[in-house]
Amino acid sequence: MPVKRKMSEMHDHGVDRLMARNPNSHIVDQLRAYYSSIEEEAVPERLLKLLERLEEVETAAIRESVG
Amino acid sequence: MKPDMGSGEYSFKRDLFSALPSVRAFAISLCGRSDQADDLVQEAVVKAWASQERFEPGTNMRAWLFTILRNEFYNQRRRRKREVQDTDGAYAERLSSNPSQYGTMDFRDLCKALDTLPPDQREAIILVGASGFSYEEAAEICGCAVGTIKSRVNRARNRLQELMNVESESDLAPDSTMVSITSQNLCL
Repeated sequence: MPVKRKMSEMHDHGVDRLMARNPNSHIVDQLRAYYSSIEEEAVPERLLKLLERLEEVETAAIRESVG
Repeated sequence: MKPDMGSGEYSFKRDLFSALPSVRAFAISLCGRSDQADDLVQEAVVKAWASQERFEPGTNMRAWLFTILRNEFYNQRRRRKREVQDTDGAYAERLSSNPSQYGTMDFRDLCKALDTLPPDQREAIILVGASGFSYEEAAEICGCAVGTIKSRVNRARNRLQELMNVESESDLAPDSTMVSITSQNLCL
């Protein structure tokens, strides 16, 4: 499940300073739009599976050490 | 598939999971839309998981993961450089021969321009301009001085602006060979 992140939640002074210094620049706008378009994509299945697998291995290791 | 959101106590996995979209966007912005980007994220996740004891809950998970991913990016780059001569040239060529690597039309020019930046400038403008880190945080992630990040961001922004202006002027007669050659020269 993709975790959506609003740009407002990522408020950042760095960007503000960038924009303030160069208000005519659309580069940073474009960069942010590009970046958030990727963030909004679903996390690939292989990464989700990897997390599951890591957790399984960890749980198994804990069980082994306890039992 | 959702991470376990049931328990109220701190969950490393949940924290890591919520940072994944941003980490992945960083990887793709760094090395283009490719298997390499997802390999990088995968590698970073495995490394982060293995050293989770070293992560302090409540501190910035995103910055921590970005640092790990960035180290991995440069390690892989060094390895590839040793293995194959002119990897960057080959990479640029692959990108230019396959426009879909640049994603949708909307961002194609931007991605091409990003591709021509030296990696240190590319990561600086991505971290500060898009990932939402402060100059200070970006400096920490890159292991350099704040002033260095500032100057890299400035140079990157100026260069992107130049390139994007050229791109829009040459829209009627695009020359992909030229883009590829430029990117080869500048990436090295």
